[in-house]
Amino acid sequence: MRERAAWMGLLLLGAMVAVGLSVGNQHFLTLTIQTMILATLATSWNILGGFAGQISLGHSAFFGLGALITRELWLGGQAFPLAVMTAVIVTALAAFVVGIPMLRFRDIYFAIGTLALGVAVYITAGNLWPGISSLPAEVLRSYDFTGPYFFALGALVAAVCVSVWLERSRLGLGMMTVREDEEAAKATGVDVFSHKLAAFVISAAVATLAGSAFAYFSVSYYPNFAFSVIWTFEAVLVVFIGGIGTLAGPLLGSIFFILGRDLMPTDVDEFQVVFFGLLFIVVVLLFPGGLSQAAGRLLGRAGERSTATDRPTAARGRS
Amino acid sequence: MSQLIAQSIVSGVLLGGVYGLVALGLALSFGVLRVLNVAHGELLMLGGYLAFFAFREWGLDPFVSLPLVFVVMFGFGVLLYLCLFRFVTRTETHTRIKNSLLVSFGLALVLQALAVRFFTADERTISTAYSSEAFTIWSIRVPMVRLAGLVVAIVAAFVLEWVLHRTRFGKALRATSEDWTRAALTGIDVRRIYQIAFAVSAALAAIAGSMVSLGYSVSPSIGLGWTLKALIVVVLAGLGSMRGIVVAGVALGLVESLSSVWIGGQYREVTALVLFLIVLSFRPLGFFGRAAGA
Amino acid sequence: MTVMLELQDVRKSFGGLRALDGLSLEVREGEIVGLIGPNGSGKSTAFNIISGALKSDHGTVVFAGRDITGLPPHRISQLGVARTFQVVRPFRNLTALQNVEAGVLFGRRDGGSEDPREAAMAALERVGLAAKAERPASSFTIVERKWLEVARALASQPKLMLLDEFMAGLTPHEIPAAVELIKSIRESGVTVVVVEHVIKAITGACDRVVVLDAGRKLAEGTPDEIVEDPAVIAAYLGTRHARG
Repeated sequence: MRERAAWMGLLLLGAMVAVGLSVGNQHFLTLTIQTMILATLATSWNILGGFAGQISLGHSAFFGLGALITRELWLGGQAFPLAVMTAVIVTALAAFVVGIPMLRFRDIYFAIGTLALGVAVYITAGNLWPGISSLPAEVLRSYDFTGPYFFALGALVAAVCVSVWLERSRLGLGMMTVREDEEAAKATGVDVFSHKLAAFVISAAVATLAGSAFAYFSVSYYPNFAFSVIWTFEAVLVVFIGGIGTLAGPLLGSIFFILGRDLMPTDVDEFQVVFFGLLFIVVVLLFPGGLSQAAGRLLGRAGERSTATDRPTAARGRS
Repeated sequence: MSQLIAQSIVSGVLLGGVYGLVALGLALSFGVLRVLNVAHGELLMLGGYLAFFAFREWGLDPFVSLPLVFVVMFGFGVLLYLCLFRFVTRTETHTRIKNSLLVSFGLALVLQALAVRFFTADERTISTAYSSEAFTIWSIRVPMVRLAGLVVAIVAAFVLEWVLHRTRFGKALRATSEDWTRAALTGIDVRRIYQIAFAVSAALAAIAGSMVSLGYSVSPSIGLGWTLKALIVVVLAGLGSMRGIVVAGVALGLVESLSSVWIGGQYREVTALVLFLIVLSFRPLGFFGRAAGA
Repeated sequence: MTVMLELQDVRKSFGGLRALDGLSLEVREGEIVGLIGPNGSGKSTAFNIISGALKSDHGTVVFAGRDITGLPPHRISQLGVARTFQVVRPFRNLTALQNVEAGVLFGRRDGGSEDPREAAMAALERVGLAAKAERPASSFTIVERKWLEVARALASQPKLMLLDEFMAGLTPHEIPAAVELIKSIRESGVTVVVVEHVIKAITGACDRVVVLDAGRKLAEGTPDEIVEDPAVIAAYLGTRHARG
């Protein structure tokens, strides 16, 4: 089962590379890049929310910080890869420092605390960088989608690799025991706080990659837009719709979200939000496994039966 | 300078009254149902629009339409409970709080989008004949319409406390909030209590919305900001007393307006949020009073 | 025999309520000790203090010659104290194998030098759940969950095992198997302390019984001695007989 998934993943990756090299359709490439950025962000949220069970509502702070640092350094003349690396390191350090007080809050206090933090950072970013950030003319002249496409693809692959590694590692198992039951995890020998902190820092570092991709891809935007709560909301929406705590969930959810939004009538923008908002509610209340569980069931019925690898959800919680 | 500070103290207290009023409803739904409704600010927004349109279309004064807003949003609250939160309250407390947070988050997105669709994204304010009236003490301006927000908050807190402590219904409500299983065993209809408490919570948000659209302004996107204020107030004050919540609201308003004098207007909210986080980190668990022990 | 666990004058209050009022007790290596007492006598509080889930107000806890008072629970677990919970707490959404693997990977001092999967399977084997290794714990019955918790605890290769109300919720025909399991835990070199509400449930398994009442040690001795002890009968058994 795992091997088959790995082969399918590689096949998909090959197809994505081929698409990036051959397809010139701007609209299609834009959609694909947007999907990959969102999927990377959602995967990073899933590490913290789905694996370690900590519902953060301030995730946009890390996305925004990643975008900001990458963009400033890159447009300031730094080599792009170096800018990204700096952004990842700085954001991870910031997450470490902020995580120590924040992760003492449990459950909803963590959610409320991170929301407050996210909003505070958003307002501050708007105050400090009020002007629009545009690519300068010389960059714009050579701008095409190939660079952002492959960077976003690389970011997504990195995010998925981190998730796969966590799913199989001692660290990841520890995170999941924290999600399931903190008291029982402690009694089993798991250092709960360290595992939460590790999840927080890793999640922030991966979110930075998504932010970097956004900074690379966008021609012009207000720097504080990358800090907007919308990014957190979309990540949360997509993770739950796709299936929280799974590898495929954030990917499926992102594809469904971006494609769905594109296919919906554009004359009534609000309709999309209403649709996804309602879908989200339905998933939380009735189908906590999300799309990936639904897909798993369909595949399981069509092919051979998988041996209980459909990972259930964090949202169900303990009883 | 002292003139400026005195004026900001007054504005802060008046705005803080509205913070308290919003938080009353949030405290009620969290305290009784253990439902964390992050769409509370969106209910405020709807109430604000209701008062605005009642004024524009039918010429109803916002104080006259207050009962109407209350009743309509009470009904909307019942509807929301029956369609959504009823299902959330079926799970045990830990899951319930998490799921209510998620469900109301989805609800907030939906309500906000619908508001943009039907009310447009424009900012609206009710401007009555008396909107610009104010009285002046020692050259400090006290706008009447903003003073009304504080007065309504204080009245609402006292009425709520009276209901909670002096009526049979209030007793049942408190019993349910302490331990719903025991309440159910003593013959209290827990689901009915939940329904009414949630509806009153929605109606209180709407009343606050009326005051916001009279003294300040409403637009579809104001929900999250108000929810955050209400959350901060409830977390700081706990669920113990309704008067305490209004006091905490006033304190938050004061902190904000004073910080805008001393640090700068664009950081007034940031200051409040950072202060909140600092306070929270000293008491990371025990804020919602008795709720933490449940 | 060496002393495995020693509590010296441990006190703990909740608000005005004294849950433990100067409790001292000793457990020797290789023993099976029953800790019994009526509701509110402080048994669970004692367990929670030993395992680090609660901090005591006063007194010391010494485990295998080392003062572990006030250490965080995961450290105590890693030092070799494993526990089960009164209300079972397996990791519901993880498979049985993952549950036990967590015990291997986090509970052992050496971090599990053998293959964690094989070690986990061996522990599941011991409680008879190997066939259900890939099933999520949420699909287990209460009894299976209990066994799973034991497997998770065993997997950490503890020196001391704390079983909280282990017999509660078992049907009469499941009790002999539970007693056998407790004995087999001891056979493998683990000292066992069992908290129990009902004395009858553990007389068959215990070498020694300590009776608590109002946060103090009321009596201690072999199960037979305890049943005869007039103080115990008055404070504890008497009321039970009167009720039952």
